[in-house]
Amino acid sequence: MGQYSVQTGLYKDVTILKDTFFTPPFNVVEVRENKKDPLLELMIMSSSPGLFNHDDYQITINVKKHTLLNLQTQSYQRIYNTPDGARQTMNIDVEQDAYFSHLPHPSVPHKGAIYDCENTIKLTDKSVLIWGEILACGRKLMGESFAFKKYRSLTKVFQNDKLIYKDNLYLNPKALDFKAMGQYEDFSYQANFLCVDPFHTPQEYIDLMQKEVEKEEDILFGITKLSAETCVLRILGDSGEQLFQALKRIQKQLDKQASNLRLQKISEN
Amino acid sequence: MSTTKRNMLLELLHISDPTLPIGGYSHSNGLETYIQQNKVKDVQSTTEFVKNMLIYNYKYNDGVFVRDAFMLAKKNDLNSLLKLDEECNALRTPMEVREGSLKLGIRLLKIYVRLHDYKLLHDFYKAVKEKRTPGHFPVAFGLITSLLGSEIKESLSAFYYNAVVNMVTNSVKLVPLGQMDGQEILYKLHSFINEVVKETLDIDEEMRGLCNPAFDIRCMQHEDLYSRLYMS
Repeated sequence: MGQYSVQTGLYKDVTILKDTFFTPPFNVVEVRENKKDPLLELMIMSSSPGLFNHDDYQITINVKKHTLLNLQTQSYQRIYNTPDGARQTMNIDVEQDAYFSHLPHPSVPHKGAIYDCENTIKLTDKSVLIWGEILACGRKLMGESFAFKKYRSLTKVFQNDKLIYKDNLYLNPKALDFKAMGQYEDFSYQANFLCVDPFHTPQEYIDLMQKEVEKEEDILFGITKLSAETCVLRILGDSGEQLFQALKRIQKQLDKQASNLRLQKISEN
Repeated sequence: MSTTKRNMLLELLHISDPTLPIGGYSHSNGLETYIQQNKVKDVQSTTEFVKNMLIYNYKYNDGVFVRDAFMLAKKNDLNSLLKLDEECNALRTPMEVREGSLKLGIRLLKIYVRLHDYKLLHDFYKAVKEKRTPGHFPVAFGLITSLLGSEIKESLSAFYYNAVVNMVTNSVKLVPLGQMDGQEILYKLHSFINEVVKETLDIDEEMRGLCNPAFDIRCMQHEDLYSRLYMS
């Protein structure tokens, strides 16, 4: 069982890695270039090429009050032939006036993969969440499109203990025809991008996402407002890298905006 | 047929009547986008749309809530009904689908609180009015048909039949299809609806709230269609 936990803290208005714990194959590394940037950037390094049979990753993230965290992954998450399954559980707490941004590399379930992932994210009414997820159909170039056995990623977001968003990305070739109308149709990659931000209107996010995603060709996308502070972007495409880079551009701008807002608040105090 | 059974048939015909003034006919749930994009364009593609909506979307995102609300109403469990309604809300990502389900649910509740004095129904409606719960259509439908004394299978059949009638009627108008084509699609789907009802009773819980990416995206795109006849 691999596990890591991260807890942020504040030192002179800059977010620091206050506490971390990890077991193989993980390592938590700070990758922030500008040490004065209030946003902490961490990368989860892994010595494993992916998830193997019986792997069970447990992840705990606590973004403390007034801190800003961008948590990055190192590479595509491969899920190998896992006859008895592999799983990952991620529990995230984003406290008051805290910012958490996470866009992992695409997940690639190989032939025979069985994978379960559950993400539980707890927010307050003054927390900001930027959350992305990209799923590939498998090793398409190796002729392994949708050759996995089961892929399930369940994401639940609570705001002050109230469930505000639930997404059940479930793919099972035995139970679903991926090519069917309403599913993946002619595409093979799916991306979801969720933004919860009580400090900005969803329209600001929607305009930014629209501008960035419209640059991409051969994709199908939709953006919607979930509430007065939440919006979601869904994309279907044919290249994991294309979707990852498009979402990365959006995330980068949002991270910068969060950093600048924090710098402004610091200078006002 | 006994008087009670005959009454129940009339109750279910009434609540699933597409002309019930709750506005079901004004929502296309993404169909209008599919038609404008020429993906749904004839009898075959309309049938495919309706079937896929039933087995991939309605079953896991609506039928399962009708079923669970039905069962919770039998147990008189208001708190769990409120939790169920919260989950139903959280799973509806496209704004127009979420708002459509709310409009239908609240209007349905308004009709039935005038007609019946079931305490659970009034307590649930009170929670909706006080904004303690959203009031989604499948939850309201399951709750009401359970209190009326229906059987679960009949309740689900009525729910799915209502959904299919709305999809077919909208297709006849929008594609457009002939009236006879519409009736043929609808009639031929009877046994399919029965199958979906059976499957709903025994859903793999892992698939509860299944994400339908292309359906969701078409519903989101509907928000920005140049011309729109429907609210979703």
